[in-house]
Amino acid sequence: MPGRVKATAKFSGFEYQGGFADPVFEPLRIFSATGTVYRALKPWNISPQDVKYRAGALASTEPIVTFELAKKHYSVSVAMAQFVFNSNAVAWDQAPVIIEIIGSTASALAKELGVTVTQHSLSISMQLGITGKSIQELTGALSIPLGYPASDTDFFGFLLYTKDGVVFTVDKSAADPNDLFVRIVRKYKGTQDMDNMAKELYEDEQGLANALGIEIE
Amino acid sequence: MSTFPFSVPSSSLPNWENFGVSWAEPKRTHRDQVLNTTQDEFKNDDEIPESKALSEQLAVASQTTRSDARFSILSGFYTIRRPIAVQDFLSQQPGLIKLLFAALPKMKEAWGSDVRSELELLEDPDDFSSSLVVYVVSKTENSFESLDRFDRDWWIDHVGLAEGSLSFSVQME
Repeated sequence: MPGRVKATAKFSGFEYQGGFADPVFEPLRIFSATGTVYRALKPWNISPQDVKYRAGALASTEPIVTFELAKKHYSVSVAMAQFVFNSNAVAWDQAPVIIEIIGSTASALAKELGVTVTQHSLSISMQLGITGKSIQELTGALSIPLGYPASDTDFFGFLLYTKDGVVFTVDKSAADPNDLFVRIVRKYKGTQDMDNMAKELYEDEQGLANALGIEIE
Repeated sequence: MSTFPFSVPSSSLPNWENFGVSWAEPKRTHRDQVLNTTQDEFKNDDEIPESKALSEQLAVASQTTRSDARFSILSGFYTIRRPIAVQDFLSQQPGLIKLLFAALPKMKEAWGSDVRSELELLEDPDDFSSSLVVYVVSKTENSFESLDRFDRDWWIDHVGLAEGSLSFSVQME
């Protein structure tokens, strides 16, 4: 798109947390659900060696069983109070597969444990290498209302909280101070459609990219 | 001008000019020139050729790693024949990756959740063209009916995006 600079994702991660309406405070029941979740993930080429038991969970949100997929780039972890999907090297073209995996896991847990997922948190994190402009140039103008002209600003990072549960974080990357770190977290309550949540997260990402004048690749 | 950390009476110094060296203006060696050049360039972040080159190399390396990781994810869902050739082809036609991921749930809808899929690069020796083919490996008798359904329900709306570089075929097990 003309006028925008290219932002290459050097790192990208996606996480989905699905919180249960009523936690299962019996770790043995989580273990007993392993087979059902395994069968639900079998279409996604899971093997027995991809199932890992985590000993010593002290909190109800700590994973008890983890299922690894896609050559360990994806994982699904089940805890007493939630299940979590994690992925790295993620891009939007993988969304159809990720949505299916999350849906299959939720259905398997509902069937085996009788849990309902009523709290949803989706987050994407990216380290973006910017071509053609420095990160100071991208964000310098934002500091003008604070009395600092762009020429005096090294970098302007920000946190934005919206009333509908979205948090945008824009910062210097810890891995490389020349790169931009971006994180978007979106939260929902109640029964939700995964496609719709993913669509809204995508729109958040596009909105942020528009505001910064970048095109994320 | 450089200064010594200790004081030396000037009278005790040899006449450096006899050696073609001016004490007042020391001759700039190649090393000095490089050091001075680098210091000058570090005054402006936009003009750091060595660092920028390194940063660009790191960016390329990082992008290669990420591209490899994305191909690795794809190979977690497809059995890939001749993976190096397929990866090379996909790097030239990245739009096909999106179609390959999108096709996975649709194939499971059409053939069932236990369907296997294999991906191969076919090369036509006559016109030197290449294209990818997805073999849906199925045991069921109505696999070809499922292929019709897959075509009708999804592929027909997306085939244009592949620009002739991707096709789906049934392979009986």
